[in-house]
Amino acid sequence: MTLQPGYRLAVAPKFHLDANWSTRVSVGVGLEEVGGQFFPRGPWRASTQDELAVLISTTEQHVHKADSLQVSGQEQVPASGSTTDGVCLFQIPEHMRSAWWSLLDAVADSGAPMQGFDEFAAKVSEFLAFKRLTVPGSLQMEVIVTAAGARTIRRDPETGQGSGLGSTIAPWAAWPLHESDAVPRLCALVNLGDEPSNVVLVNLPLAGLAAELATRTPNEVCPATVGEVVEWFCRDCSDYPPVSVKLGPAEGCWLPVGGLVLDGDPSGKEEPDMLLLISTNITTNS
Amino acid sequence: MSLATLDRTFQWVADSGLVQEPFVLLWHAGEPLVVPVDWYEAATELLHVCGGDWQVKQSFQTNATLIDAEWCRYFRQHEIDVGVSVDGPAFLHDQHRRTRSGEGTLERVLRGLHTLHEHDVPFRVITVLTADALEYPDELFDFYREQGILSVGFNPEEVEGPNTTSSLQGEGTATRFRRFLDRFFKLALTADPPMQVREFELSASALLHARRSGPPRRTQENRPFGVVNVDCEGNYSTYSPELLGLRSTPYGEFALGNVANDSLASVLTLPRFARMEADIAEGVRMCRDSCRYFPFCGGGPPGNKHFENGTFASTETLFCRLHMKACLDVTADWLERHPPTESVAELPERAAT
Repeated sequence: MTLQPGYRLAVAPKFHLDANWSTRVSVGVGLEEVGGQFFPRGPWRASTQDELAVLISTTEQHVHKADSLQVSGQEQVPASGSTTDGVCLFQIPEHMRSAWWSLLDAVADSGAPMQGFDEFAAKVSEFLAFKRLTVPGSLQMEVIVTAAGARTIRRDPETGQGSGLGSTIAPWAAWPLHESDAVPRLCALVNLGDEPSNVVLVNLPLAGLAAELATRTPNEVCPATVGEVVEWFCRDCSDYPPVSVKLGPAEGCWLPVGGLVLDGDPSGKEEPDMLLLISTNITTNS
Repeated sequence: MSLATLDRTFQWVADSGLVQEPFVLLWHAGEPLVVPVDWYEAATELLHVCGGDWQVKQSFQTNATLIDAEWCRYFRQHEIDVGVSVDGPAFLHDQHRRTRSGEGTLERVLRGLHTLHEHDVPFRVITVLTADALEYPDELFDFYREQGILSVGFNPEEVEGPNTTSSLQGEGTATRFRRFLDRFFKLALTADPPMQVREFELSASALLHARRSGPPRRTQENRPFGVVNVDCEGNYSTYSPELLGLRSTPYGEFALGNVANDSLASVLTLPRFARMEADIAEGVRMCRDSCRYFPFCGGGPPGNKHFENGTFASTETLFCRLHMKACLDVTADWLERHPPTESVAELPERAAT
């Protein structure tokens, strides 16, 4: 199967970084199930021009639309296959990343639990607010450190085992999503390490996954939760090519409000993978 | 400028009787380092001969692209105050500062900064802020830190002389400018070590000075011969430096005379000088009567008033809104949140009531 039009990649407004898409983006073969979890399947190869045309936003309209989605303070669930929402690259300032490393150094020196993470998170939050990368409600931040060579950064909270690809929107959220629903979701992730990190994603919105499922298995019952949409898609559409996006040190990506399937991929790294995850912490109000 | 013209200039200054207190001799406008070091060595000699008892500090405003070890030796030997014009990372600096062939100049500027560091020459930086730059306070802060810059000043892109428009004239710029300052002040003042920001220092000083000793007198730039500007041919003017070399319908040539021929006494009787001074004084009076920032400002720069409003007898300019009002407001906010250690009770009584 080939990449279908879905979310596009762009540099977030008010940021200036060298996207260099042809070396940043690579494409895998499909998805595979291991022990009930789903993982991207390689080998990975450089994206073709046709694939980049599908994946990369080249229009100002898209970028501004993505910006307005964040600025408005009113999140909207995009329509199926919408390209008016995307994955936007951004970058935290170096002084902020070095503040993180200072915290780590202090822990290494003292052996005591980390002090000052809340202040660090507040600084990141202020920076994002200045850049108008904001969401309704409060942001929750955590740093996920994963051993180099691991296949996933996501963990099953019950077993502690790697959980592979998953949705950026809480899996228990009822499907289809409604505008009145406000569910916790992953808004962004940032590479705090010194080495590039890879983020693997399926470039389709959740609504796009559901539409693809409906096409392939028209007689099946409809999924009832976001988790089911993702699980069923990964199982039934295992030939869909995942996309890997390389994030340099301090680079991050702001994720679409409509949700997507995503995981980190430290498999090719030499140092531990260190990602700052930024989520909304709001509960269902429907 | 020939050394003979420079000699006449120093002689003119000496004859004028203007030197009553320490002053700054600023080499700027164009790139002052295109003239060889030898010329400045000779100029310094002339300065000592003509004004041996003057307390004068020489200052250069340079783009740093020509700085080498010889310049550094000169700067150190004469304790020159060095200001470097650099607008931040390449995506900002190279947008406007280019060579004649269109290439960005940042790399050459950074080589100059590196040379200054290598030779332990202290310097400060001036960055021209365009509308684009207002979105990048963190990126600018990172840039300064990476380059070992500890003292910065921001010049908002102004409407003056041939620069007839500014990217900062757009709707909502004042708000964005304040947002930028607020963010940058916070980064700079809480850094370790703190970064000096000229706008904060000047605004804090103005706020505290006004509180201690009452409103300031007219500023150096709107007071006649508070500033004397001399071009390479010896033509001179006063008030805002950017006026020199230009003319206008209401005032004619802004140059008032030439150091070779025209004494200070002779230009003070010129009708066009009288007209300029009357209008500038009227502009200051209008500012005093209409602007609540006047006690901290002393009336805006005449050059900006002329270029933006068409007359010196006017009030608010883009420069006022950004470089004065926004800076004062953001500084006052900061001082309210982080009061100076000296308590109000310890301040001397106001000299003027």
